[in-house]
Amino acid sequence: MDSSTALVIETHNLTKTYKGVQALKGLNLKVPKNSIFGFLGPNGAGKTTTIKLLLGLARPTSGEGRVFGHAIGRDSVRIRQRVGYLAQDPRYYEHMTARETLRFTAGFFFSGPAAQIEARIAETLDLVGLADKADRPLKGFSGGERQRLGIAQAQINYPDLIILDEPAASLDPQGRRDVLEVMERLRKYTTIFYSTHILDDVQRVSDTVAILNQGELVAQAPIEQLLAGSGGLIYQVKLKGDAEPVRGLVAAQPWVSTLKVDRVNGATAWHVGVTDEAAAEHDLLRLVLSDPAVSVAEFARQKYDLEEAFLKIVEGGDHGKQ
Amino acid sequence: MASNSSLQAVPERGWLQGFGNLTRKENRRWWRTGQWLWQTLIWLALVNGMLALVIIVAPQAEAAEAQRRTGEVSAVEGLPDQPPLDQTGLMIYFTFSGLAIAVGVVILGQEAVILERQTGTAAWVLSKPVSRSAFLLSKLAANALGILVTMVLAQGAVAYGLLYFATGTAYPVGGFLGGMALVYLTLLFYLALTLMLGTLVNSRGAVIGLPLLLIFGYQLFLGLAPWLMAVMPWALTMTMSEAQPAMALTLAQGQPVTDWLPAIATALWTVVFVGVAVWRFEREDF
Repeated sequence: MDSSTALVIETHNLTKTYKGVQALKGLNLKVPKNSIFGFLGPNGAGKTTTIKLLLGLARPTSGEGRVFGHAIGRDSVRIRQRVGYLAQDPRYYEHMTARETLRFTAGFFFSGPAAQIEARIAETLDLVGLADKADRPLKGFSGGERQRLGIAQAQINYPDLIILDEPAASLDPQGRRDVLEVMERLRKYTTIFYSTHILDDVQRVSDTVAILNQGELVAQAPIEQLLAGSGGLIYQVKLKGDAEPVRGLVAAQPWVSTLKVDRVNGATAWHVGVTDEAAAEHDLLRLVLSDPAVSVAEFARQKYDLEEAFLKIVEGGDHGKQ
Repeated sequence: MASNSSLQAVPERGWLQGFGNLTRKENRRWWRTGQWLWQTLIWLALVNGMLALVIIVAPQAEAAEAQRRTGEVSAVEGLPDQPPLDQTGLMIYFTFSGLAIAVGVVILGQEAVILERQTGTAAWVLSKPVSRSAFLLSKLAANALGILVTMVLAQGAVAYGLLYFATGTAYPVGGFLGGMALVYLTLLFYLALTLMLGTLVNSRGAVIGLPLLLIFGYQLFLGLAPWLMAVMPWALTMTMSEAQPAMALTLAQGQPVTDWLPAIATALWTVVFVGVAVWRFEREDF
């Protein structure tokens, strides 16, 4: 499979302007097949605009995008045949029941046989835990139940791509957990592209992440790469004993760019910035231990949690481009 | 689609993709809820109720009053200058259909598009494999059917029966159906206008207000520009004077209509409104 067919979503300089305000600025996005792709950004970053453009609900001002190789806008009906979508604040016909809503949704994808369609509806209701509320009108549904119905209607058609816009934003912790569990179950069958500003959720389920800020893509990488940091490689070394003599030796290495020292509870903590990961992995610990007066309590490559990485990228002056 | 082979996919229908499913949903709203019954009863009370009042109740009351005053048998016989009762009834039926039922159509039509745009259900539906033209045309088709049955055919049949039993006049069925067709054309004009406005503006007041202005302000418009009579739907159902009877009235009485231009113009306007609505809706950002 070449790289183009391995991409489910691909955009090229996608731009959207609303009444003179650029909501999206030249977005170049690549979403690999079978990924759970977290689309991060603060409120107003342009996440929902991007999703609407991908689905043909809004028209780009300039640039282009492809989903399954189909041009957004021109082939949007074909795209939507293979996509399931849950909006940020989904609205359904209140007089319908959950089962009627799914039957109506299924009617856009399947023409029969009726018994098989009903079986699919029942299976979907079961998947999201709404089987016992299937025949109640939606006007009595809680926020969590609506969100579960939203996931149900988004995957009734066995979509190759599920797009979820802030699927857990309005939910309590239990509701969030349920939604994430459903997403993890679905990942076996489909690509999931979801926007969120809840970083814990992304760290838990995503394998690839893009960060959008003020309409611009500021980072796009596998989550492990993003968590490794965007300010260069840093090793953390916690030492006991007099480390001053060996500090000069380490700092003199050509692959060491910075060496900061902290004192923590009588121990010494070094933050060693390196330019050559292989040299650091091979030599750094050996150099430190070459001084018999020093013992190493901890040695690890520094990892950011996603919140740190996100804030660093979003608030960083250079946008922390990856 | 990560397909289940036992399910048959909906075939591609291009610009009408999703039309069947959407129309079924709209038809269910008409026929599987009480809407058809309510609409039938409301217009029965307003249009045929008024007709019954004019051709049954009022003459009896006048006759009773005349008998009380003069001891004569019939008030109607005593009022030779008035038009025959059957003609008055016919005029009442067509005028009320063109006024009151048109107002009902405007209210139904404004709910069809702008309400769905504002509540967000349109955005949800359009996130499915549905063409925007199918979304709009399904509204038009289902409402056009509901209006035809509950507001035109049902009311026309009752009006015909009332006129026959109360006045003894059996109008030619073909001509009466022709008159009902002109009522229907008038109602389609207002439905299409309201749908179009629902795609153009965000204010429900504007969507309702402009058609109501056309319905009730015709005398004002005709005072400013009399030529509008030839290109607007008013002449179809409204009798302006004895010399200018409504086209529907003329047809229902079995007389020939000499000038079809208002009907042709109304039909063209309707097509234009639908075209503009589809064009605008295709360009809407949700």
